[in-house]
Amino acid sequence: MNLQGLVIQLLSGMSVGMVIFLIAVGLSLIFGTLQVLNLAHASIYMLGAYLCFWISSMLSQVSGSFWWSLLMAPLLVAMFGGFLEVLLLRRIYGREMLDQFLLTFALILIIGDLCKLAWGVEYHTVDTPWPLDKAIIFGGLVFPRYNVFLILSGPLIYVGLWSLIRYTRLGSVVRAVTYNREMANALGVNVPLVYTGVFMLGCWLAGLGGALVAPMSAVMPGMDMVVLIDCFIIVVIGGLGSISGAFLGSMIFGLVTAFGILVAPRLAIAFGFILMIVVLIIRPWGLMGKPER
Amino acid sequence: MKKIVLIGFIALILSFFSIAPTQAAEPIKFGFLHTLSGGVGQVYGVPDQAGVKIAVEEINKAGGVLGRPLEMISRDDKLKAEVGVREAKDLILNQKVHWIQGIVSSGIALAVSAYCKTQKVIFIDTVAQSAATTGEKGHRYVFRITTNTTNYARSIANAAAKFWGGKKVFIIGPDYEYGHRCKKDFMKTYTGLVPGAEVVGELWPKLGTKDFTPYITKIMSSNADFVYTSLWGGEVLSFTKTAWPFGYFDRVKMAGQDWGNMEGLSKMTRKAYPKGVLGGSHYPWWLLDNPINNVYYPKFKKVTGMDAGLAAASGYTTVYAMKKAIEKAGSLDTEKIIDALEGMVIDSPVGPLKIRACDHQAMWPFWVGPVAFTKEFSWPHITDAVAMDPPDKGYRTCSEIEAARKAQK
Amino acid sequence: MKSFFKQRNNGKAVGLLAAFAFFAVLPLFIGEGYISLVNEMLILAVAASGLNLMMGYAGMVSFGPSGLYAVGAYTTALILIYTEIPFGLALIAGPVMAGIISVVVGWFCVRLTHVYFSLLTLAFSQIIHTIIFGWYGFTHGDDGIVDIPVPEFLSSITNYYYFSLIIVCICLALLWMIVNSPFGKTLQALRENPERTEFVGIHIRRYQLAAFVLSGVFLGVAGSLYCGFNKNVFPDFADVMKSTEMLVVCLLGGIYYFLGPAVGSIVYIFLDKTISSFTEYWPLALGLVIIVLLIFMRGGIVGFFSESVAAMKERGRAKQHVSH
Repeated sequence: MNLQGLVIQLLSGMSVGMVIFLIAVGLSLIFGTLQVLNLAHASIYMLGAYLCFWISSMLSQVSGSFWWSLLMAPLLVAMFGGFLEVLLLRRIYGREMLDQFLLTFALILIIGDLCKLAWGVEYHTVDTPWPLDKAIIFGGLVFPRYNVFLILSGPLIYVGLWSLIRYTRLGSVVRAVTYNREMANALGVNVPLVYTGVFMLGCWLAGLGGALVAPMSAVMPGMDMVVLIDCFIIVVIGGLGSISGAFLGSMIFGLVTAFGILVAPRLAIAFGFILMIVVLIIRPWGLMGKPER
Repeated sequence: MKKIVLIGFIALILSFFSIAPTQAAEPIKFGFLHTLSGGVGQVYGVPDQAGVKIAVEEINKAGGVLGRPLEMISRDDKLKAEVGVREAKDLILNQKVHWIQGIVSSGIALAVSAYCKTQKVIFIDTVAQSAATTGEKGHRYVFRITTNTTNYARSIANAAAKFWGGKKVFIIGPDYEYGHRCKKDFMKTYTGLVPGAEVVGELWPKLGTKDFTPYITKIMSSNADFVYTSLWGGEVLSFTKTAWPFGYFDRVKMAGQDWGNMEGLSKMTRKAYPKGVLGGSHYPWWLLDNPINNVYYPKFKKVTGMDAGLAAASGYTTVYAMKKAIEKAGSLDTEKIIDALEGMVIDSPVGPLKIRACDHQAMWPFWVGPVAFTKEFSWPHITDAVAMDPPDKGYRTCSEIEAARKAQK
Repeated sequence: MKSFFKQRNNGKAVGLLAAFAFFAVLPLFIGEGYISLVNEMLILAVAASGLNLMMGYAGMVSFGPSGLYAVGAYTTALILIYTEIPFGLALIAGPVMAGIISVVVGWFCVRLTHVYFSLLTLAFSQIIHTIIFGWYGFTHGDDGIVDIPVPEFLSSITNYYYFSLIIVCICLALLWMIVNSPFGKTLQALRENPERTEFVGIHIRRYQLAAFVLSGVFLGVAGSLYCGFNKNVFPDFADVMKSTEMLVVCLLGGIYYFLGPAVGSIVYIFLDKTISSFTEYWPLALGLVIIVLLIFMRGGIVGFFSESVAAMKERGRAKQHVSH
């Protein structure tokens, strides 16, 4: 394969990685602060995709309908997330992992069926929005603008999140709660509010991922389960709870997919798990995570 | 609160025992076993159910079968083989159905078929496409009223040879047995038509892949003459959406059996569609002109709000086929019904179909043609479609089937 | 919190005998179709109880029990279709193979704790699934293996029901002996306080590995039994949904009670079958049931009933006091 082909493959890998990053980082963020492994995270992503489809079809007469739905769908998803946190998740924080596992599993079933009730079992999709519906042509390279937009939005969200946690007062409160919940509580931090906020932020990110995926794929039942396993793989590689880890993990995941299929196309289904097992055995806390205290 | 939960629980358990089957002799019961929930299978199961319901209502309104109404008992296999077999047992042993129809997954179809064989109950596959069901694994009690993978491969290979005829073939398909079997069948037929044709590259994305970007860039950088794909369902839509902005359809020739079906295409617009792809369809109602299709299609749209796809047409046809067979047999005796079905010509929205006696496969035609937009419809569809003529050509001959069955033993 | 099943040993023995008698005479009263359903419940009960040895007693939450279940099922199936080895031996080979695989998988897994342990078990079960799914030439991939030859006398539903009833009883008895042995008590101590147990001189990992392997063996038994029961095996035996089903079963019945998973299996299959005959929206219903259980019935069904019974007795005693 020539150089041009390699560059295109590299860009493809980055595009795959950045979409999945938006979803995985939310999962990691929620785990980091709430200590809950949210299995329903991918269902939240599916909800985002459906809402994006729904809003943009409602607004099909308005120009820039996609951009409106890109704005509104994640917000609605975040509100739904907040509702779930206050109503359900809050009851199981102190409990064992199994309870959390099952509660979030129940949410997968419920959200899946709610989407089916609302939008049926047909495939849906969203038109690629202007001005991203064309390709960039550079020499002999052809690459769609929408994928470039995805590649750029990944790092943007990453830097945004990282500075939010690192430099703002809000971020320091979140870090304090993550580090030591009791101490933060004693110091007057409203811990439940922080939990709700972080959960909503995580859901917002998943919803954003869903809305961004809608124009480039089918919005359909069952789209959540595949992504869920991929997200697990990424957060395990990067380190549960680490934002940078999720970024690195997504990048690795995307590139392994893009270049792996050149080398061994039949192994595409096993790459992720093998990577995950190796990381768990050698460095269970992930590439960027911290060992358990 | 606890008391309420307790009482509710006991009530639920008691209710189970009151659901014991009622042995009303009047209606003729049949089982509709399909994927109605969970995952991608329901995209086919739910419309099939609607099609069957329409047929049952029509028949009952017109006086039923042998003067008795039909009763459809609908069950969900949840896309799990063990549930499929569990429900088949329930339908046969508890509900005493006279036949079972449906099933989207080939694996589940094989399992249910094996079970029905032991119970001597008719099973009619209406969606699952694996050629083995009526081929190598066929037996007296299994029928299929839809196409199969052999017909896919032969029809597409014929069209590809006719339209293009290149020697360098690129393969992309979902990474499971269906995809690999399609590749094998396709290449077998195609090399027969175009000697010296070879596979120059292959890609196997895992089932359910959403983001095809790396696969598309890889295909575009290959120098193949054309691509054969067995991607189906939602992946047709996902692939198209991702591929379009690359200018893929202007630069790459592609052929795929599920690329002409309504399920994937009906939601596409001029902004992204598989332009020029050689797509196949089981039920291109816009190309057909027969009295059943002219009534059935608008009715289905009106009742369900969905466009009629392949599954609903098969389900609908199957109920009518059974009606005809039972009336011809004059009784509900399974063996007599099978004798009646063998070699019978049934009516369907795609025209009259013969059910072959040797393997119980309906000679359902499969249309292939380039996907394009016309003024008539607001979605892309196959045009200038051709089907194998006669449709038997798309299937293995009876002697081939016999040989394959012998080789199994 | 006193357990109903721990209070009086005599009553318990009578209760168990009654339960066995109930299952033994069941085929006289209900049709074969329902017997087959009860048979599924029994097999699931072995799988769930085996899983619970590791989860409820040793506190190791596995997300991937289905992998070992599938190893058992496929071992038996592959032996039966490729070789002439008799059915009985093929049935034993299932759990043996599952045990061997659990030694390898467990050796890696017990090095991790909490969520990392769970994720590693998930990853291994996915690898098993991928192998079964992808190795068409050997395992028949997603087509599964159908028409598995089973001896004539076991091919009727009722006969196979009695056959599995006996095996299930033996398995449950073995599990009962294990959890009440010093080994079982040590596992419970491990769950409650790993550090302290280690100070007493217990080699934690060795015990955890033993629990993992024992659990795997019972999962293998269940898989093999299912293979003979349905005469077919499929890759979805190894997938995440199957694992989750087993976890839901344990939770439903109550993970801190010996009979919890068994009761859970009965109720789960019953609910699953009943709800899905009425509506295709059974996932929604199942989801709601799980949430209600988690929030209102924390000890599972067995826990809930033993508490209610205990509370009723309390009340009864209080009333007697008042009247006297």
